[in-house]
Amino acid sequence: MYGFITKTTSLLLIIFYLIAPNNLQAITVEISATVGGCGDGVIGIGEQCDGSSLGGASCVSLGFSSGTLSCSVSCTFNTSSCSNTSGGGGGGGGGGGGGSSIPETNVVLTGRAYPLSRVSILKDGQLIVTTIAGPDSKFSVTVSGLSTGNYIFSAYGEDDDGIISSPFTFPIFISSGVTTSIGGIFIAPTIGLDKSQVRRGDTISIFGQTTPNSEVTINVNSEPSYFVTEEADQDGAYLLNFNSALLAYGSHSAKSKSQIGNEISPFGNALGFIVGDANVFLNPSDLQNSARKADLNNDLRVNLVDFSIAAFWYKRTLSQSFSLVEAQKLNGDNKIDLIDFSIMAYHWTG
Amino acid sequence: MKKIIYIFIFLYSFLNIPLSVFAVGFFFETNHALYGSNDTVVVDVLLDSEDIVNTISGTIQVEGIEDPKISINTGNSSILFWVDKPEVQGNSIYFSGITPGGIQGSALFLFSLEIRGQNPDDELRISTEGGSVLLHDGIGTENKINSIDKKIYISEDINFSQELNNPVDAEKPEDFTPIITQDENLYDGRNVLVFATQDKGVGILRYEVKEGYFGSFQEVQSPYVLKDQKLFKTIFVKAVDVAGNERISVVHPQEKIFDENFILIFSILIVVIVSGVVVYRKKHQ
Repeated sequence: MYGFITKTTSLLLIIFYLIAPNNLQAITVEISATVGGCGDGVIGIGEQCDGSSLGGASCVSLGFSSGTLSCSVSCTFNTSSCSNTSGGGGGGGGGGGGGSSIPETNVVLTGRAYPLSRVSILKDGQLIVTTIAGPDSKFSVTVSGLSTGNYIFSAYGEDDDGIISSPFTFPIFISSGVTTSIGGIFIAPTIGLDKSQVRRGDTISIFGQTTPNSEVTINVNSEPSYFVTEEADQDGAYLLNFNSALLAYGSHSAKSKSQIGNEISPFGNALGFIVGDANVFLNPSDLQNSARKADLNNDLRVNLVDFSIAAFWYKRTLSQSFSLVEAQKLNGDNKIDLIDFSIMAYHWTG
Repeated sequence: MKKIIYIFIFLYSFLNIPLSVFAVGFFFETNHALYGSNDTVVVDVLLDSEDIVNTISGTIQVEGIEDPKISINTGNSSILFWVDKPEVQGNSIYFSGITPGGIQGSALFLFSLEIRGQNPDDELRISTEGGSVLLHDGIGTENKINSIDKKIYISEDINFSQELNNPVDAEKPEDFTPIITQDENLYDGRNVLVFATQDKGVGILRYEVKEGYFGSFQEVQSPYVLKDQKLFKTIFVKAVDVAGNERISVVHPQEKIFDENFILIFSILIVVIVSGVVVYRKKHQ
């Protein structure tokens, strides 16, 4: 996901000033979600600034009273020349301000998911809004009520079969009073298999949903690795019947990504399967359940509740009943440690 | 003497350039290379990671100072949910936490240390021990990571205490939604309240919960076992940041008919009706 982000360099900065009453400035900063590296003079995802580009931020917007804001070599704000001039006395009160309004701090997220699918947006790991994508798979969401600081946003989609995609996650620095537009979010395709084990020589069906009429690249991870392209139909569905005769006996996995025009999604979750001597078929509910790994309370979500249950058992001897849950939903080592939390963070739905 | 110090500062600032080369590891940043004995030494703990990681842990060591007074600022951290919130134990600070969805990049801010209690000619050394990150791969593959130590010299002739570097944090913690849950694996299936939020300024200091309009706020931690297991009362959850800013979230009673709100409104109505009847009778006597 991030490889795609770091390799693709595109950033658009449109700053214009709306002269409001009382000379208040409302600033709109538009940033695409495809980003370059630190030092290229362009603010990218994960960067607060780059060189002389400060993205409209200043000492004042960061909470200081005065000073000069600069950018460090690691593309984070350098506030060493910012200060809060306390005291100093004097200064008879200035004339009344005249009822100024504070510009809103918003983030506008736009991108592609699947036609008429539910898209969920997470802010700092907590689900804040869901929306429905249009028939063309495009969605747009506005998030408001933000403060100045670093945020981590995630967006994921849910296809017609109830399979959840891997999240498209990105950190961004938000300045107070600024509307930040993040475009180019391209949620990875969902993926499903018709078998968890395929008899060598039989076909295994790899399917899922993405944006309509896009080109889907399916990677079957083996030695060697196979890359096959299929075109998604007008509903965004794709299907590949893969000949398992090409694969050796043992464990393999499949994942997919999508491309339309110059837009390209990251690879989605990898699904594992086995090439053996018999077929073991899966049904859609198995796929939904596998997507809900780490869902400790079986509410079809992985969120703060599951985190709290895991945190309760962290460094404790597991009860008999929770031991079964741990074996089914986490890594099955009969204890809760950081690996289990990592599995949970991977499957997080908010 | 001053000239020698200036030359030293000049040379040291070159030696002390952050060696972040976008590998995988912890490193530390300060605004200055030298500090005075009355200054607060603010050290940012940062992470570089080329890979997408979702779990970060480590122990920070503060050496070269006899009796350090260390406070921690977790505001604006890249770690969203703490498994072990950074806590000072003597000269070391252990921490671990997760970032759902994973994170990747250079100079990811984790938290900052504010160190006081140093003496002239102390040489502070900040390092990490046993740091690791777990990859965002669904199985928690561990990546051992390195750290770049930081040395900070304390001089008699330096004084940054006039410099107020902490921005004024006037913003409340982030909005949040506490959740009431019940699970057989959590406090024997009792009704439990879970909550968490972030603060983009100086960090969350504590949470307080009040059960019912007439209750009082008490400091608690998530998950919190509700006293009102019948879910009759309105619950108020207050997140307080280090600067004292507060954000209160309200969880309305789960008992839909005869909840606290109903009883309150019903009681007020009874009082109004009785008062009305009393006044009416007095007027017509």
